Amino acid sequence: MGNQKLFKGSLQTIILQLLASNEKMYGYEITQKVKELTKGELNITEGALYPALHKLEADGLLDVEVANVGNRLRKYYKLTENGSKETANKVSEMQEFLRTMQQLVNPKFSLE
Amino acid sequence: MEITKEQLTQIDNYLTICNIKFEDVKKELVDHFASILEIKLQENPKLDFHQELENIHKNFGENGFKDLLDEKTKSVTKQFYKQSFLELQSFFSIPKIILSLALFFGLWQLMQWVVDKKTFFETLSFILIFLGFRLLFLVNIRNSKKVSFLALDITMNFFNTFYVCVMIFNFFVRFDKESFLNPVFIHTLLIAFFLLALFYWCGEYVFYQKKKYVEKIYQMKNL
Repeated sequence: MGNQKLFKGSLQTIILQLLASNEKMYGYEITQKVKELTKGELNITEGALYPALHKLEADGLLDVEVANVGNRLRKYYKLTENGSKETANKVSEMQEFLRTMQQLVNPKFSLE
Repeated sequence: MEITKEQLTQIDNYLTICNIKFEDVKKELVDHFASILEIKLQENPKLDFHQELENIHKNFGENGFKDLLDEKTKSVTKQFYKQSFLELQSFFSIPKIILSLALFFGLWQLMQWVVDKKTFFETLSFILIFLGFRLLFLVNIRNSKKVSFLALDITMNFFNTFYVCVMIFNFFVRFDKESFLNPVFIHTLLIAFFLLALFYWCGEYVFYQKKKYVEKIYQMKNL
């Protein structure tokens, strides 16, 4: 399993990106989707996920919908209009960060 | 394998023992626990249910649900003040600014009409204290409800903020009579009163909007 600390700062971006491609999701579904996409490499703990979701909701980036599922209520999260814009910003920031890190950890050697 | 009603009650009771008293937090956690347990019960129907509840609980970190509750409280409070200030801001933009100007002009006229300015501001201070007590009364009513929602648990915090502002206002109202002959001083106090009264109204308005929203999404009435 990879270093979870490295992923910690990217949690909000991960959540936003997942919601951008899945319309609406609930907490447990997000943890499972991340596990599936990363082939078990990244495991989002509940202690980190829910506070992040609540923060994004309070910041107006996520909207909630509560639906009856079987014999209980389920809270779904979906992106607001601002959330969609913020996702694009955060993803492009992340890509820029990854490019910079790539240059730092794996600099190309030149004969010049 | 869908979880039974009895098992849901067990999860609910477990969360209550773990100090999760707010329905909005509890409902989300019940679903989270149930989703995991449904899969685990499918794999092993003879699963030790209570032991598994504790295992899921451990995934929330060393502090259990504390971090989640702290973060949610912080988010709810931040959201409440943000919405209240946006509402307050709307009183200074078209079209509400017309109403604000009319109200302020009415208040200003009243101040001009009253000869004893100190008594006038003492009355305004009394009105603010009365509003503070009203909030405190509402805190007791709202906190005594059987079903409570963290999203609505902001009245005490709002009362504290409002109370501090009222006390600062009251401090200036206690200045000697001569200070009330200074037009800058009395106009500043009048603006402060006007803003505080609007802030109170906005806080209560946002609370009732949130209440309506919570009632709608959780399909509940008269929270």
